[in-house]
Amino acid sequence: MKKITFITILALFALQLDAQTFKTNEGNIKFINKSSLEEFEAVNNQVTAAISSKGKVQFRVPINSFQFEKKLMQSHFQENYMESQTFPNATFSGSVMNMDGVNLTKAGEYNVKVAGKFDMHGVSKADTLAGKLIVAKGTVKLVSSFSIKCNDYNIKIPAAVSSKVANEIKINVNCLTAITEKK
Amino acid sequence: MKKLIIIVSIVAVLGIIIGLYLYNKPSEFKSTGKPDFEVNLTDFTKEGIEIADSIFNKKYVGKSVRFSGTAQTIKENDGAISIQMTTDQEEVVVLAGFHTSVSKEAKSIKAGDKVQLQCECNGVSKPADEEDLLSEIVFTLSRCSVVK
Repeated sequence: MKKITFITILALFALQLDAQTFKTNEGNIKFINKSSLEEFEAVNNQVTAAISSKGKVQFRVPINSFQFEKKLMQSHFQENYMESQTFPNATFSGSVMNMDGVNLTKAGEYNVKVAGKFDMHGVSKADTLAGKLIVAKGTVKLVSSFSIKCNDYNIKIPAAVSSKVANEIKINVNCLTAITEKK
Repeated sequence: MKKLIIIVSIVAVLGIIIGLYLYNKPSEFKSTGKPDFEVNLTDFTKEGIEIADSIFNKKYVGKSVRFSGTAQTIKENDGAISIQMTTDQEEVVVLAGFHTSVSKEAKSIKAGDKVQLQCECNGVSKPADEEDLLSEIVFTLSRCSVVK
């Protein structure tokens, strides 16, 4: 009887560990434009991000939360290029491909590859991203750096500003998630 | 002819100055002035939950919204302050973000304080399905300022 109780408790504990979720609503994403004529960046501190101990990863990026230095760039980005009233969020949903080598309960840095799907500006596109999970007590920092092409997402940059706005934009992700729930 | 050249030159120089001014005009880091909407936070979130996201977002995204409520948690990230407001449902989250340049006024707010804020609405996000890790209904507001 003792043995059954012990195994049941162990199984329940293992199930709980298996379903841990780390989340933030204050993640950080930086958008860097490097064109032949101009270099500028925009910062977003309102990214929602989550990772589960099963390796599921999700990001939701409110487009209007990107803060530019120049007002004209900000309004062009929101209204003309990203059409944020129609497409207010960009999302990424995927799974860590090498989750077997990751332990979210053991502090350390883990290099990961995440296969998933971007949804942005009404366009869905599969992609694989390289990144790093930095695990500390009760937290997981999601770090990645990658590029996206505007034309892949039907984001039209007018010819008049194409020398200032590059087609390929660099994205830096830095989201510190904290353990939130056990489902 | 000489007069015409002078007038055209003046107009061209003025055009360049105005163009440069508009191009380099700094962004607004906080929402001020008369708001597009003055709302009760409970009614605002209720509207966002009940109607389709697309309709809600068309109405509010990019618009200034003034509302009153109670600060639940205050977090700082890279110098920017984010205040989560108290709502009547656990799965409903209202996030009010302050730019680093106005973080001083936001830092004076403590959890439990009743505040009136004016922000720019960035829309509502709802979970796609039951498996969604982002299981909350999130209202994101940025460029906030403290009205009182």
